[in-house]
Amino acid sequence: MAYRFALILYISVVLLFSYVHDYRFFLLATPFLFILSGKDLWRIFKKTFMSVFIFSSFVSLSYTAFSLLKNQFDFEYLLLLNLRVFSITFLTFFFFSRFNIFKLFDFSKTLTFILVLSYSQINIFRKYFQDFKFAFKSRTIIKPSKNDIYNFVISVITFFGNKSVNNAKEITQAMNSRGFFIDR
Amino acid sequence: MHIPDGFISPKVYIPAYIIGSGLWIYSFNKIKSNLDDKTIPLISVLTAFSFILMLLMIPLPGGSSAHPTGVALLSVTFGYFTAFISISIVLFIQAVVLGAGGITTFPINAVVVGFIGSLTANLTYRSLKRYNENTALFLSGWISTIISALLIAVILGIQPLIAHTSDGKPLFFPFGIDITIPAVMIPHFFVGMAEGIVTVLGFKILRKIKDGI
Repeated sequence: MAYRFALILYISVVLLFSYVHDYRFFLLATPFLFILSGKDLWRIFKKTFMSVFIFSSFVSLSYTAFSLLKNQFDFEYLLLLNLRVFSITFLTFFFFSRFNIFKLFDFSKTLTFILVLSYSQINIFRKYFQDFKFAFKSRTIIKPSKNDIYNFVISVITFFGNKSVNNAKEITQAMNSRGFFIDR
Repeated sequence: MHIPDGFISPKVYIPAYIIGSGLWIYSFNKIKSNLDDKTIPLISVLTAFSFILMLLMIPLPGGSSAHPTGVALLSVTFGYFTAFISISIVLFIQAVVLGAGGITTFPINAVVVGFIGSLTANLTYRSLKRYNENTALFLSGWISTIISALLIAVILGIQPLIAHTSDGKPLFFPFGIDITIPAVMIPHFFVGMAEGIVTVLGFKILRKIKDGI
């Protein structure tokens, strides 16, 4: 019940943030979100900043350059845009840091299972990919040539292709041995 | 396109959620009859596989580089409904957990890249494979990327037209289609090449996987 209420509240606030076009509202709302996030403030702030920085900076700088050339620069718009981008992203990370992401899909057991399994596989594959990158880096003293990178790409696709076969088989066997598919 | 939240008007992302929901339900029901002890783990690992493909940076002619999405590869190998569901899961996890994309841009990416991209790739491959398989695979990756990029560019570019103040100032993304189309399409011409290369390379490997399972 608490989850449903929080989810409705979260969606309502995202919509509110999308429909309010006054930067002063966001100057009040953003610090309020910071207070709500409590001890997670710095972690969520950092994550939000890293998430929006490249795209927002690119758009903001391009807008500044274009609008200055046309003598149409509007600082309030730029502030509104960036505050809204930051607020919605911060709110999303805050919401999903407090509530289980997979509960969103509890209307379907199969979908929840696919999501949980996919997420766990993504985390496993990410770790392997990091190892691949470190191994490649440690074996290339000078900047790698295009051929080296193409070979790396082929190795990665082959490795993860085989890993996918093996993992799929292992998961099937593990689930069957625990009676998962019989109980469903 | 990892567009964060706040750049797209609710006039676009709300209909995108409605269209997306319809497509997710339809696609899920389409593949549901085939969901069993083998296909559920397979979809999960394919989702993770697609996630890894999105991390690969492939050097391209001219000194640039691009990352593929695996949309075409999954679509030609496993069908566009499975590819759409897998890509949607990746985009969702990227948006809400990893911070690539946003909750309001997720349905747009899912529909455009996940569904239209998968469908285009599949149709391109099926139409051309009788002439030359490798060319068909490459073009399925390239064309699906170009079509998706064009639609994303149009969606971004119409923001100042559909959401602006009474004096015409933009409220969300500031640039019109005269800027977004070349800005998005020129790099995606090369991104499509990376997608094409990965589709050709990955198809042979994935075909073995499919046979193995």
